[in-house]
Amino acid sequence: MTHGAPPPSGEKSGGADGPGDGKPKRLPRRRIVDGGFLFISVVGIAAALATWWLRGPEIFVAVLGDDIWLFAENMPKVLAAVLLACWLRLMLPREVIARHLGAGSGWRGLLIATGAGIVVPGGPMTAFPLSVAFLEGGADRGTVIAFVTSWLVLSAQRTIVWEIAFLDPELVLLRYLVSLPVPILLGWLARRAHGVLDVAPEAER
Amino acid sequence: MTALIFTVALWLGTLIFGVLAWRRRDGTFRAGLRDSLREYRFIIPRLAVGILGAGFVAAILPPEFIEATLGPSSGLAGVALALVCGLAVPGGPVIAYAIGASALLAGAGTPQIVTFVSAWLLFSANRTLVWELPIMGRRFVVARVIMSLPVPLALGALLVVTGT
Repeated sequence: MTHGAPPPSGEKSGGADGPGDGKPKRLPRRRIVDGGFLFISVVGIAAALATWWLRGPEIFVAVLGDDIWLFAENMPKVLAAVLLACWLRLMLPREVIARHLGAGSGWRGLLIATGAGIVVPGGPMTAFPLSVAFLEGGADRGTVIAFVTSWLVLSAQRTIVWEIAFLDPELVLLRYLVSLPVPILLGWLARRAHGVLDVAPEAER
Repeated sequence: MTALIFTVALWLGTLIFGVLAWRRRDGTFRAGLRDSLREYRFIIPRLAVGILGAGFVAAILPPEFIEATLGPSSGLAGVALALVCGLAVPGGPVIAYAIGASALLAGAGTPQIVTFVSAWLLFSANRTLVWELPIMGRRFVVARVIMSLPVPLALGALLVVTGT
C-alpha cells in the first residue's frame, strides 16, 4: 500500500517474512508526507479553490459537508480493518499455508492461494516477500500466481480501507464478485504456460 | 443497514483477533496495537485528503465530457479508455481511488470504473517497478503482466454485455 519508499534490500530473498524464521519483523517505517501525499494535497486544494470560484460558496459547502460525512462514515471500518490486519499479520500461520501450496495441490492449492491473497494483510512490502517464501517453501508457479493476483485484486484490507471509502459499495461488491475467478484462472493458466509466460521454471525442479 | 452490519462484523472480527493475540501472552497484542497506530498515522491523513480532493475534483469536472467518454453509454470504447487511464495512474491507492471516485461522481459508468480500478490494481507502475520487480524478478513480472493484460478489458466487457 505504500508506494513511496524504496524496496528494502533485506527482504529480497524473502527471508524476512519467510516461513521458519520465527516472528515477522516490525512494519517498516514510512514517511507520512511523501510525493504522492503532496501531489493529492495540491490537487485537492486547487480543486477546492476552483469549486468555490467556478460554482460558488453554496456548492463548495455542500461538497465539503458530503466529503466530511463520507470520511467520518468510513472511519470505524478503517480503524477496525487496520487493527485486525496488524494482529493477523503477527499471527499468520505461514508454515501451514506454504505446506498446502505444493505442486500437487491441484485446484485446492489454487483455492487456498486465492484465500490467502484475500486475507494476507499489509502492502507490497509484505505480500511479495511472502510469495518468494512460498516459492522457496515448495509452492508451484500456479499457486504463486494465484496468490499474487488474489492479493492484487481481492485483498480484503485494501478493499475495506481504501476502495469502499472512495467508491460506491455496490460497485465495489460487483467488481469483487466478477474478479473472484480471476486468480484461479490465472493460476491454472500459469501451470500450463511455456516460454515467456513461464513464471518460474527453476522453482519446480 | 448493510454497511452497519458490515462494520459491526468487522469490529467483532477485530475483537476476536485481539483476544487471540492477548492470550498468547508474548507481546503480540501490544505489538499489533503499536503497528496499527503507525498505520493510522499513515493512512488517515491520506484518506482525508483523498476523499476531500476527490469531491472537489468531481465538482469541477465537466459532467457532459465524462458522461460522453466514460459514461454508461460509452460502452466498449469507454472501457478501453478506462484501461488506458488505469495504466497511466501514478502512485498509490489514494490517487487511483480518488480519480475513480471523481469520475464516478461526474457520471462515469460502472463497467468503466471496474476496468479502471482493475487495471490499476493489476498493473500499477509504481508498485510493479518499486516492489514486484526487485523482489519477484523480471521473469515473474513479465509473465504475470502478459497473463493479466486481458483481465480489466474482459471484466469491463462482461459488465457492458450483461448491461450492468
